[in-house]
Amino acid sequence: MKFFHVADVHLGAAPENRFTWGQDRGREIYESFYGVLELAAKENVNFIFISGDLFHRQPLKRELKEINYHFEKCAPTKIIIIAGNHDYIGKNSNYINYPWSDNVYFMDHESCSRLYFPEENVCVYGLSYHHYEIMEGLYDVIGPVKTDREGHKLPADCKHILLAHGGDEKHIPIHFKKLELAGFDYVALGHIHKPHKITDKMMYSGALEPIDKNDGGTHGFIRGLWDTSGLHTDFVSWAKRSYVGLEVEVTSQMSWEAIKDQVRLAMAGAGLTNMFKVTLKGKKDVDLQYDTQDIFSLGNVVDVYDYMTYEFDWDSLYAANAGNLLGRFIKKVLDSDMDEFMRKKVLDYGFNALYRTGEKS
Amino acid sequence: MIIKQLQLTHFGKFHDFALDLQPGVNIIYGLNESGKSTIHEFIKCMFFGARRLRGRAAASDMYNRFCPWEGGKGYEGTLIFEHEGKEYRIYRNFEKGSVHLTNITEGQALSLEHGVISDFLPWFTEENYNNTVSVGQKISGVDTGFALSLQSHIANMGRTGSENIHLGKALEYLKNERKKVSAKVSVKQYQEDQTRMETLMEGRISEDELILSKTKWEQELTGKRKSLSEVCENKEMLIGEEGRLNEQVRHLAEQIQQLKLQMDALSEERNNESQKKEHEKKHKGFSLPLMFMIIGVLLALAGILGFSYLPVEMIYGILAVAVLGIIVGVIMLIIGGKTAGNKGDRVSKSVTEPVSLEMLNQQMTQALYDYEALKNHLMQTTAKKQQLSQLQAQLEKSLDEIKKNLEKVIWQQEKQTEIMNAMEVLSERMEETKEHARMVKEDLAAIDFTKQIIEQLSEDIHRDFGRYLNQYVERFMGNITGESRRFSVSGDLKVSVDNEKNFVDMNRLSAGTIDQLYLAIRMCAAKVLHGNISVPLIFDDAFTWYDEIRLQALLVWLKENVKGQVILLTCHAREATVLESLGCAFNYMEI
Repeated sequence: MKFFHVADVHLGAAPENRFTWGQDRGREIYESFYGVLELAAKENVNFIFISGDLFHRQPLKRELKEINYHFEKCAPTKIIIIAGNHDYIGKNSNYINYPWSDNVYFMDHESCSRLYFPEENVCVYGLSYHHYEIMEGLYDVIGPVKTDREGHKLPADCKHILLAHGGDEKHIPIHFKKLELAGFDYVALGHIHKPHKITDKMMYSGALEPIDKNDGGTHGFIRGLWDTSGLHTDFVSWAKRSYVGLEVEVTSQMSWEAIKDQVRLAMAGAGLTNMFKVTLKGKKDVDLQYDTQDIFSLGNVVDVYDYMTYEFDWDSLYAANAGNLLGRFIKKVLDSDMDEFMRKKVLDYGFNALYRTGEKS
Repeated sequence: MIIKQLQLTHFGKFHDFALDLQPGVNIIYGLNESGKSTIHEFIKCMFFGARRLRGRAAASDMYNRFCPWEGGKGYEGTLIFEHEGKEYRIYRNFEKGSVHLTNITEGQALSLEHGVISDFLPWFTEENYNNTVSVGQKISGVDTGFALSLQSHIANMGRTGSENIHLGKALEYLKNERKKVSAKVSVKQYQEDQTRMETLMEGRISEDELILSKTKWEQELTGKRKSLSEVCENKEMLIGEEGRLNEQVRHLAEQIQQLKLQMDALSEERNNESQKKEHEKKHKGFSLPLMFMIIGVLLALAGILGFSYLPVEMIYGILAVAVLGIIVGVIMLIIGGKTAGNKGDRVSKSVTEPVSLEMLNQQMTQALYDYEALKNHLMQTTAKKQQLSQLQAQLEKSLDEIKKNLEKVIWQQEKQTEIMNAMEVLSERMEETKEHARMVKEDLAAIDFTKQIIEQLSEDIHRDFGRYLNQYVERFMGNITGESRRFSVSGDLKVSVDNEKNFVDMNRLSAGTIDQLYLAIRMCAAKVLHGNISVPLIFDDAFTWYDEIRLQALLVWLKENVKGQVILLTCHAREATVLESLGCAFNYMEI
């Protein structure tokens, strides 16, 4: 039995669309997901488990239509879906009574329900969010059921699989130890965007594509296989782009142009299609004139952090200028009562104001 | 520095006009409108250029003020000055905006990066020139910004570094930074988002209302669908009934037709029979078997009657013949009947089952009655069917309407979802803007704090410098007025005076005294700024408000305290007279 475990696709999210290069990012997420469906069909995967937040917001009818078309295409692969906190089934939700394709199973109950698939001998458990927040630990009280609806015993080697969404205090807190003891053969977790294993049988696939700039690292889904030797899972790195943190070390010998080149080089090294959070650190020249805004035009840059410091420290600068205006300014700031963050800013502004406007004599 | 020669090639009203100046005191005398102020401005223009403005402002800019009436051609001049033992020449062509500085002594061309003399002599800035060197006709006050320059200068005096820090420029820089940082938050975007949010809110319909109307229409749809299917079912039944009735009617019509035929046939037969009877009456009248039977019976009767009279043999003979007769008759009847039966199968049963015309008539009447009844029933059924058809059409129409309404509700629902989603996007963006604004606010706070500290710094410097300034002004004013008064100079170089009760603003004093106070500050500033460097002092009708005593006192003060060049532009003869009376040497020129 083969399955894909996908979660937090967030269709409809449009991260970075404030940048010109990010305009198509929303569409890209759709395409990425359709790619997974195509792969599933190609690899004759039995199940695709979607552990919540397939949509970023309440899905529109036409969006469901589009996605259902792609689901239909990937038959006979069965697609099992639960709704997460982002696409929860509200009173007006289009999920309600949606005529899904025959190979799609939407587990829309608010409490845990199950589906038994005799052909694959798999029993799938799951529930859907009907509210944005759920504080109760709904997964703490469930476990596999060994009989079918009529009370007949299920085959001994039936696989019991739970689709679960949540894991923080406002979105179904999960007691992982309890859940592990409940005895499911696999728990396909969703909600946390960073992929990680809780145990060999219980893992977060993470978001298929990074949804905001805090979703660093690789993204994709989990591919599972049950053969005679048991369950094998591996993580498939799938996202079209990643958020990459770049740290560029600056020296006081570097001009602003040289620093920009350094950033360019680092971006090319990491792959230009990625999205970058650039941190400038090290020592900058006293006379370095720059605008961090320039960095944004070098590529897919989402953030620039300027942690560059001057070669001198304020104490020694003060010592060298004790008698003059700059020295008096530094002393005043150092003596003032303010938090260090503010003090650094004030010193920077003051230094620039007094130093940059000075006349050379 | 000593200005040695002015050559006004074409400048204002002057053409090819030259003026030689000496170290020490120079008096340039001229009547009103003789061009004294033009010469004063010429010196400034030579050092710092003639500012040329665009548009409407061009009418009053420096360039146009002194542009020769004949046009810009030859609009130029030369100024020769001596500084630290070397002679320099500034040549300017105002029309082209070009300037050349030459070290004449060493025959070396020097460049002026910004076209001003301070590129060569950094301390000789336009600001310093305006506030110390040049004393104009009416305004003897100093620029507000100059106060900060002076403070910066004073603060910088004790410095070892190579940079001169300027408080005024620092504050200017901060002001610009503030502008830049504020521009980072798009207030407009936020406001637009807010307006859009409000519009979206207005377009919202309550979820419950939508669900209610959706349920209502769905229920109606189900109801109508149910009645429609009932109607259709009934209609189907009626159609079946109608078919059956039609069949029955057809069948009955056929029967009637046949009855009619039978009746026709029977009446024809009757006709034939009566003819036959008449024929039989004419011929035999009796049928042969009957005759045999009758004879048999008669013989039997005769035998029985004649039992007593006739001999037994005779009787037996008669009876035997009678029985024979009867048997033959019966046999003949049977045979005849059989033949007739076969014949009747082909023609009509009336032969085997002889029916009367009356019976047929009766049957016909019944059939016709039934036919009428059936016809009636059929008509009723058809009418009912038509009624149902109409009902069906009505139901279908209202069903369509309900479907439309339901579709509309579904469309509204979809729109609502879209609105909710758009609102979510907007609120996210607004949150982001707010977060951004919070960061910008922090930066702005830092800038404001920096500004505050620099202003404090300026006050601190003034506190140190203020006493010196006060003393200088008091000494200067004591010299000029012969009175000892207490003065206080503020951080922005405003002077107040002690009137024995408190310090009052200097504007309470006479115009002459105010002029003198300003001069005191200028002289002090010049001393502070230029120190040991001797800089020319130019007075352009600056002593108009001075009385004879104070003028004399001032000139004495100048003679004793100012070592450098002094240029007095005046329309009065009194300066020369006073200087002569003091026994001071001076260079006198008239224009």
